[in-house]
Amino acid sequence: MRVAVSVREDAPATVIEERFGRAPYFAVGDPVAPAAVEFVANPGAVAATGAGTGAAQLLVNLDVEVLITGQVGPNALEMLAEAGVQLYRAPALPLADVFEKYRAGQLPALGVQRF
Amino acid sequence: MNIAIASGKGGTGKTTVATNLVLSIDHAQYIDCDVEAPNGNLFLHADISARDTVGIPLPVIDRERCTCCGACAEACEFNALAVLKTKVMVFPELCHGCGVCLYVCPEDAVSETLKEVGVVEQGFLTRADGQVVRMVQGELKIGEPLSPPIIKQAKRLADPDRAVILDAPPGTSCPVITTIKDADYCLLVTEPTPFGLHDLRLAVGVVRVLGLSFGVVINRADSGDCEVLDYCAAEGIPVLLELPFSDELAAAYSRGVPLVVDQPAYREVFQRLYERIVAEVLS
Ligand code: SF4
Ligand code: SF4
Repeated sequence: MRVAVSVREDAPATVIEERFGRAPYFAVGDPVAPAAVEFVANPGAVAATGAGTGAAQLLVNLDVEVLITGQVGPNALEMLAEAGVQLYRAPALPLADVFEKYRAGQLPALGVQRF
Repeated sequence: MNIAIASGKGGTGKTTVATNLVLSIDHAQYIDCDVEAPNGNLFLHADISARDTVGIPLPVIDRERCTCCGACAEACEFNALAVLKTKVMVFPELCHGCGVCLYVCPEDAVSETLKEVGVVEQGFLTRADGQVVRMVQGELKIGEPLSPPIIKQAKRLADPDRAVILDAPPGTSCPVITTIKDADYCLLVTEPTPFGLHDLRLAVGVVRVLGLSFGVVINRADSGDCEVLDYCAAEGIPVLLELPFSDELAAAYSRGVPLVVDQPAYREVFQRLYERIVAEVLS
């Protein structure tokens, strides 16, 4: 299972960045083998417009099946739903804890958000 | 002569200065580039004689031809396109109509449709002295984020034989720059308050970067402090006009009656303002 988590730094000790589109990095890997996680810079973090759609395109290109993040805007949400990516919500936890909770099935699904 | 009237923030009296100027000088036209909230014609009362929609191109993807190669999304600077495994999604509110996706598509799968973003209206009014004044105003459609295409269209409609008075949007962002960048002169309208000074500094920063010649009008000049005057003196910025606050003028304003119509003596004040601007441009 290829899972992406929006994070603040490109190091295993990082914590979740709750804003999906503006997250500096995504940690991408399999929660069952967290040692093999790779960190991918998010071009959306510095995009003038369309941060969310830019970030979602990156995840689609990386063949991600599950996204764990804080909040996703409507355009990116529509894209990810269309691409069949499953979404889960998590607060600003350390990455290791997020994987732990994901494996334990303790993360709530992330649905349509209102701003 | 092409004069832009701008201010670092809204509500300083930019439209008051622009409309009274156009009503006072000869052979003039007023172009309302504050397309999010055009209100100059509430004072000018021009009869609208033409109304045209302004559109920007929006890509349409031919699903038969598209191979989902990803080139269009890769090239789109605004992330307005997404290429999934079996389809391309277009996000109209992010699209700037630049046409790059059409240009890069290797399969000729992109065509364009026009998306309406606003309208531009033109009209005329006849002043008490018989002179005919031209008025052009752009208006952004509600919910549309992009005003520059409408501002550009409104400016394109300027009659080259008349003096141009451009009423810029408030602030210092992209629509303001689109409005003022090629003006011969920029008048910055401000108020003698700490907020007025703060926003004036920002506006001065912008006009200096653009290399425009510019001066200041202080509105409600008798109601605040003298920090704006001190700042202009220290920076060597000419203060071309100080307009006092008056109850009669505020009352006329609230009825939609321009200052120079309510108090014709003020026409001379604005004519002198224009002469000073011309002198500044020529010097
Ligand atoms: S560039 Fe053309 S073929 Fe490639 S994904 Fe975009 S529309 Fe489809
Ligand atoms: S026209 Fe320009 S902004 Fe609009 S989708 Fe195509 S590349 Fe992006």
